[in-house]
Amino acid sequence: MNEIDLSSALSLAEKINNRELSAVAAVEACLESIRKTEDLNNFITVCEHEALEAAKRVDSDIKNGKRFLLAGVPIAVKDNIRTKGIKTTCASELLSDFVPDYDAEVILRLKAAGAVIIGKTNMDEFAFGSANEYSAYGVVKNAYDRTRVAGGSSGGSANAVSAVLPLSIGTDTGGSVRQPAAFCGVVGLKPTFGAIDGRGVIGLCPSMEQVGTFSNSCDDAAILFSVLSGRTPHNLDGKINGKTIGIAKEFLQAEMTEAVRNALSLAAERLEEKGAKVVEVSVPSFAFGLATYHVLSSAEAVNSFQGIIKERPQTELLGGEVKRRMLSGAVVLSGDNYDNLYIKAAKVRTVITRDYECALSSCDALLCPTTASAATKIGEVTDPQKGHRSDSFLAPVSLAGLPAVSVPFGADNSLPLGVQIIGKRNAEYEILNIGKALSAM
Amino acid sequence: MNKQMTENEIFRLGKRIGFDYSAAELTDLSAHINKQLLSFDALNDVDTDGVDPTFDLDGKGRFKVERRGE
Repeated sequence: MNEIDLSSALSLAEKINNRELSAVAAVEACLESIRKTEDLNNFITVCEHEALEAAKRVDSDIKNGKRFLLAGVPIAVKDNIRTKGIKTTCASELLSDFVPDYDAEVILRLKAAGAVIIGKTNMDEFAFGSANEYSAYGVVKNAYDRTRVAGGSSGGSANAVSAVLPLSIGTDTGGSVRQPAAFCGVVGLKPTFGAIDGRGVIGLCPSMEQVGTFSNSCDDAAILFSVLSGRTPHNLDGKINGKTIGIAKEFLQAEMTEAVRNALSLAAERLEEKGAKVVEVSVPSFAFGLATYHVLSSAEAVNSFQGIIKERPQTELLGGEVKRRMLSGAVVLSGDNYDNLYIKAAKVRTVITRDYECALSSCDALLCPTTASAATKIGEVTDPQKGHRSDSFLAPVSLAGLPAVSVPFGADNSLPLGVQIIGKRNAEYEILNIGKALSAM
Repeated sequence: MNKQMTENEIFRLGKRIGFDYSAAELTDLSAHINKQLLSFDALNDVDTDGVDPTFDLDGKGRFKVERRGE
């Protein structure tokens, strides 16, 4: 029987560093849990042999006196992040046989910190999607309710932490870490744009994409962020006395379910109980975030994708959503649309960025729902545009390049919900600390 | 209002980016694209007079995508 607690990375690393537990035992326990939850379809590749070999090396190094920040901690990696010698498919038939010959920068950092790569997680094809229903490897089933989606595009990574792992990493372009985090009841951090080196990520939207983290606690998110970014580790104390949290009136006017609205209201009350002051602010251009994001992201994607097509021209292998997004990008960059749509959207992006920065000048962080509803049923959202609308609270933050974390808060008939805490540039530890305060019972 | 596109225009645009859409795909794509173009009309409600469209990647450089096609 598996008795090893795999929910906390910090606790696991401490035990392994102190030789109370071996990395091999931790990895074996994790592999067993993955086997038991195979029906969730979280993984495209499970690296059993490589993980056990890596765990043996960690144990040997610790025996020789070394200590690691993430000693022996099993971690899953979204399958658009290159892993040397391990298939990296982007959940696409087009890359079903692609094996990188180098590790992405974040993988090198994880290995140097003693973490063990346990597998490559399922995702929406080329990260285009918000439900992990657009994968060539099948849908990911939410661990809370197998009839529901895990969110996307980093659905496998989020769901794996919910079900079996202490940590995973994904990528967030317009919400692809934060949204599945909310749907799966875990902490999902999208750092400041540029905070984590993206070399080796197969990404298509270079002005927005950011590697992000999944964990069961803000403390674990903080240590993982420190490893990936190179920033000095910072202990969160959960104290927020005197902090000011802003809620934009435009957030409250947006479409959301009653359960989401109640969760937001309760979160605000909880923060006030902890000593923070909650104030009303304004982000006038909030409602234009989604349209702006779709114009710019599709333009960047079609531009970036030409490089992939040159190497692998079999576009008939691509799924419908990838084809839709590529075409959207071609449309917004052609003829008069270039000025009327692309350049216009680029200007609106500047306006959105200024509005968020202005709002943040009068508070320490902003608070809003992560998503407008809990996880939808698999197959429920058939109109791609309706699926996109679930990103309304998420996309503007990506456009502005700000850090944001989704922390589990509230529920809708036992389905998890999340609230999003948005910070100033490079204020990852600040927003994680607020998240920790919110999570404390 | 953003100009709506015909299936033929979409087909030609698709070819230019390396995609060969089937007749069935064209019908769905045409509906999707034209619905999306209508939703993009909302951007005209934002006052962007004098606003700089270039995005500075953390001060490391400017990012911009070039025009494609006709």
